[in-house]
Amino acid sequence: MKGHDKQIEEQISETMQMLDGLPDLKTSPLFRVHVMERIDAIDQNRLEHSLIKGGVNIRMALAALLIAVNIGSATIFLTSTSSGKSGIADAGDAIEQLRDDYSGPELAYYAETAIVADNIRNEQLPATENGKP
Amino acid sequence: MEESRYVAIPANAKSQSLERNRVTSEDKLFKALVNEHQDMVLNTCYRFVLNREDAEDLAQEVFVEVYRSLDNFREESKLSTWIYRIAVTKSLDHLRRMKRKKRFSSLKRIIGIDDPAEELPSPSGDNPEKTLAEKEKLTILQDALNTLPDNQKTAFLLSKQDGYSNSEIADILQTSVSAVESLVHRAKKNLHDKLYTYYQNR
Repeated sequence: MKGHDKQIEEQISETMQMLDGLPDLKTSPLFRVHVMERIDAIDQNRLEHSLIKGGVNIRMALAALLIAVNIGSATIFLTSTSSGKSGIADAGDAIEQLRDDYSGPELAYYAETAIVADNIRNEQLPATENGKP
Repeated sequence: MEESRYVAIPANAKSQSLERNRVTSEDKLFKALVNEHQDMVLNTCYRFVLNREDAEDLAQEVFVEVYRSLDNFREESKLSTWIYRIAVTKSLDHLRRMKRKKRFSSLKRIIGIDDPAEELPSPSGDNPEKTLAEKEKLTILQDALNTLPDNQKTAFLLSKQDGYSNSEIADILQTSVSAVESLVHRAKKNLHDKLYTYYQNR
């Protein structure tokens, strides 16, 4: 039993000595070059990532703007159609204004010819009425 | 006539020149840092991972991290301590990743997807039998080390490496020298117990 223990202790000691016997490594001459390459690659990746992110952000902003414009125009349309009475009133006002505009003195020709035609008709009518009886 | 020699330098050209000088001096500082600490960082990582390729890869990662975080260095500790602390953290992270990978590969072995390349011994060394035996011992040691808590493992491995005093290990672990001594002692005892159990059951 003691011999077995001694053997185990020897094996343990040999295994532990593996750490003491590890060689002292030297870095390769290109070590710093490899480090700088890695740093450049990371910087490049970060730049690409930020550019992609920027592109996505612009696209997102445009999409948001488009949605806002659509919602705004839809809201305006809905409010104008929902208040129907005021719409009709507005239409009445517009017709009234048009009538005022076209019955002004500038367009009096139409009004005058109409009055003259009425007068002629009125003059002819009593004459026929007087002649018959 | 004398005055005409002094040409006004535009402000942006001045700032560009200063910026260029700053970048150049930073590069010089970084180059000096790498030259000074590369071997120590490489050997520190090697003590943890026991594999040259992985150690070199980790050492590169350490200096990338140093380059990126140099502006955030708060001078609470020595620059070398800060760099070695990064090396220790990266090495412990690597060991954790390897542990997960090992668990996954043993799961793959159970379900029958075995990668034969994983078990191939490294071809270095003149005597393949001796190389294989050493590799086996290293694997046993690494398995035993991986069962230790991180602080015990770090204190023990750094104490085994030339160049680290107990006070420097204490700075890296952000603890006291007596705590480091205690951690090393407990690590040795735990390691001995683990190895004893392993060889007894073999």
